Amino acid sequence: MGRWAVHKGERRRRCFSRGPGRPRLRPLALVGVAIVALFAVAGPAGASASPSPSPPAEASPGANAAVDAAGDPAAEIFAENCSGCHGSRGEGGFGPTLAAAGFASLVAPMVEEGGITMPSFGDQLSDAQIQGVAEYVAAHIADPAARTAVVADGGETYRLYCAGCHSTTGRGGALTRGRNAPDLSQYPAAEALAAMILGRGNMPAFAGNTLDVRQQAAVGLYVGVLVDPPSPGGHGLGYLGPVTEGAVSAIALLILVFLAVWLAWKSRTAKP
Amino acid sequence: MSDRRLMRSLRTAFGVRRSPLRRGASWLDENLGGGSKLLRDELRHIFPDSWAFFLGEIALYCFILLVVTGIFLGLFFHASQAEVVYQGSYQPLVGVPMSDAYSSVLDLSLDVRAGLLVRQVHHWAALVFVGALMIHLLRMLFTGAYRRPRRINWVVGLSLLFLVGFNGLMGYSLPDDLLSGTGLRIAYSITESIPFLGPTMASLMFGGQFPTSGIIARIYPVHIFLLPAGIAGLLGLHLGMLWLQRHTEFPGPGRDDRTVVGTPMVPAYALRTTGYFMLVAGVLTAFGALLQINPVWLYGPYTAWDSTTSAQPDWYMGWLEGAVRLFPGWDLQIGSFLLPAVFWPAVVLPGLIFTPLFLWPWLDGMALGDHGFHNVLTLPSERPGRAAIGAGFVTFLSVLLVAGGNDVFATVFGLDLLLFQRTLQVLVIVLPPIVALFTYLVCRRRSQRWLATGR
Amino acid sequence: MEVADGEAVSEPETATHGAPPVPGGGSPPPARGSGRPPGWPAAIGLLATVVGSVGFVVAFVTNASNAWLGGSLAVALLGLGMALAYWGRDLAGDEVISGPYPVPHDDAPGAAALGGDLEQSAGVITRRGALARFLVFGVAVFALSQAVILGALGPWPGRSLFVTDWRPGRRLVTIDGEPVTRDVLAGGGSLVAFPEGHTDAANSQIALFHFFGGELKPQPGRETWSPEGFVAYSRICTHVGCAVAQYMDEVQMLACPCHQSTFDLLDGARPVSGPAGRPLPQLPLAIDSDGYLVAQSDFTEPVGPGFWDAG
Repeated sequence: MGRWAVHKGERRRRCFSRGPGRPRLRPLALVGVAIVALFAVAGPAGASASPSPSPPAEASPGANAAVDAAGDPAAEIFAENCSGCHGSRGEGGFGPTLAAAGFASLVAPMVEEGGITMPSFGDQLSDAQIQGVAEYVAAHIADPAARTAVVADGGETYRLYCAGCHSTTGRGGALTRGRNAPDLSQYPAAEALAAMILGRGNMPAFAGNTLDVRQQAAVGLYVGVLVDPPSPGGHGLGYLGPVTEGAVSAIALLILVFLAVWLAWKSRTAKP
Repeated sequence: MSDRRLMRSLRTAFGVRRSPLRRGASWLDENLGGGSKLLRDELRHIFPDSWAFFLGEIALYCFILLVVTGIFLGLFFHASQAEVVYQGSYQPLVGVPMSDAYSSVLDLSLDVRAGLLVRQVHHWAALVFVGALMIHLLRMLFTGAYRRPRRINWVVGLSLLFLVGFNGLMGYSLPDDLLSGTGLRIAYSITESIPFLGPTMASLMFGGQFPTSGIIARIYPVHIFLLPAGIAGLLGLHLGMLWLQRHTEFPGPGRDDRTVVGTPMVPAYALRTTGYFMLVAGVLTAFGALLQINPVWLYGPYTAWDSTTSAQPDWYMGWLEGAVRLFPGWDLQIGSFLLPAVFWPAVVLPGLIFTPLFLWPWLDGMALGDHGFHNVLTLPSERPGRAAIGAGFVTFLSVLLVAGGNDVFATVFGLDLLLFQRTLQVLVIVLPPIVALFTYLVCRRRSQRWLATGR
Repeated sequence: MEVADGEAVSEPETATHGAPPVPGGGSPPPARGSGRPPGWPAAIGLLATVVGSVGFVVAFVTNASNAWLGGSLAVALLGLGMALAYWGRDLAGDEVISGPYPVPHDDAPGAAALGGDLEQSAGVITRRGALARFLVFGVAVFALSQAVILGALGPWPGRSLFVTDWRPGRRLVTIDGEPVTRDVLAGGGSLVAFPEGHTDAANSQIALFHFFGGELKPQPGRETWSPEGFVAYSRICTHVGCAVAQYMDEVQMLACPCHQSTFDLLDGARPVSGPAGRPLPQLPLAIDSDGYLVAQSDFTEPVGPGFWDAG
């Protein structure tokens, strides 16, 4: 299947259908109009976005190679579906900036399932489209620094800033006064990125000067590990730690007591 | 020619071979110098029958399993906090600086064949070990097995519980992961809270101000040698006294304080107990195979600036954790000195719990005016007062255990953490007397009915 | 007496007190036509043992998962256990014997004689009053003197609990060593910071906050400690020393994940709930001429949990 194959729900682009050499004027004009229209809509929203200060370290999304407007379907999907909230170059708006979205593995599940405020696109877009736009965002929209993030660094940052509320295993925790830090495994990892960047409720924002783009992306990668952690030892028992392990050990003890009852059953009425 | 020589020559002449067991018996007799009668008697050692008498065996077999699996683990563990950079197979930690101890546990769990199985069986066995000891203790308590002549054995057994619990704490702290390292910090602070000597004791125990770079290396010989040797020694005493005094028995036909009735050791009992050993090992291996425990790779290495919610010690320390969580911050200023609040729940309370427990046989004797020899057990309901105190004690520890996991319960059941804490603070005072009173009334009614109707 | 599958139960033997009875355990061969073969549960158990053991070897050699490796071993152990337990329970007979408990020793004359002998032997020492007391004294002094060995285990705490690595003018840095400027936390949140050059100093860790709306309540004697609304508290919980990491942005509280001690950041980090008794120590801050946050001095009280001399 090439880039030119038709996917469900997508308008046919007959760019080369009438043979090579034809000028590709009409599609280009259409895309240009779309971009202008998007700016008209997204511009005011972008101006009132939550003040995330740009520290010197964070390169603007525009430092990427210019958004490929030359008919890349992923770019078009992005322009149609994503830029409305995230800005035409992923600089943020109603939704958070995409500067830290340096990995397709972070973006794709979020697009597929949606998040707390982000709608899901799993029904509108095919798996290949989703993968395509995810790779596009990672390669062209995200900050180049974010793409160098390493999951192990994310783990260290996670344990310093996040584990206190969300626990080392990401299963969340109760906070005082009726609040709680949610279970991170219930959402795609990128939801954690969004919460980090924007702050949410009692969770402070960690973007900007606390964590730069590379650190944010690294934490996102680590949260991705926690969403489905490796369990070589067997069933994870909810990853809640020694409390559940203790309760389960009581079951082992109960089984052994039951076996003892069985073993001593016949002698319980024994007479000398 | 002696009889023996005559028989031997006759047998050789006729080509008759005795069975290996017979030959072995005569070999033993010739070499041990007349122990045959003793051995013959002891082969018929009588074991009274009840499922309740297997509880100590669960603990014994868990101990053997722990030693066997522990030997394997000891061949791989590096008891050093020297900083290394992890380069093993677990990607999310590659390149992270950590202690050699933690790295060796990661390697053992993830890169050594059967390493994870042995580690998990070891940890499950430790949890079940203490649980078995506790219900074994409760069985003793509720049936009066601690009375003369077993008062010393009661003290030995309680000391075993103490040593085993402490050894477990040492054991799960060895991997130097975030969860257990936090526990060590708490242990340090609790030691510090002791008046006058506290900071000095803490510094001597740990080798300096927390965090020290030698605490894991110091815990290691305690966990693999000192405490297991102590446990083995006390266990020998415990089983030796049990052997000499014979096991207690429940009341029944033909049974009284002078007559023990039960199964001879050989063949039936030996088979049953060996089989039970295999069953204990099998159940624990099944748990180690199918249920993940203590996944230290998810917790990360210990650093003093990381912390995690849902942080608890292993369950048998949960009552202490709960006491520390529930006791309010009532620091005491005494002149220019400070008595931190944590001293009361973490140092004084265990003393208040263990001291009467150690003295229980004598307290019970004094309360009932009964210091006589008893080999037959009393059923729990026959001593309503004792049952009530025991039930109240268990309730108290259970509420503390729940309090130790208060944040996990609040997370799982969606409770308001503060409200839950306040409720538990009230329950820990109010619930034990209520349960004790209820138990007393139930037991007294049962024993009165038994006296009246014989049933 | 209950009858096991296809087997007659042997009559239990009674024994007279004291004499070891003849062993009579074991079951006679089963009656013909009893259906299943005798001891079939044991046979199944032993079959499981063999299958499990072979499976264990195969799983080990092929580096199979923990579930297969442990599962096969568990099957082998449980099978063997069931076989032996069943054998002991159902195939070894229901022999029940009785015997004597050891008689309680009530030998007053014997104990008196022992006491007398002991007194006489000890008389060699106890006769010589002053010398005996000197012996006791010497042994006691010797025994107690050995306790000094404990001093080798670690340093005396001295002033170490009262001092951290903060010094006047020392810059705040992140855990990666980056100096902290005044535009950090412009978007809110909090930062974990250390003294410059001491990013491994566990007792010096602080949590930095920025309250620029005047919400910070001035603490008596500490009015100059929070320049431009920046405030820093020690991150070591004053309860039992965990890192206080739960920052709740809406209520401006910092809580400890270990035992849920909660500190009010706007009011000198005093504890408002939970088992902590003392506020988190505050680090006096200043902003130097280059715009970096620095400490004015070390903490003015010991950080972390309380102890006897801290009062």
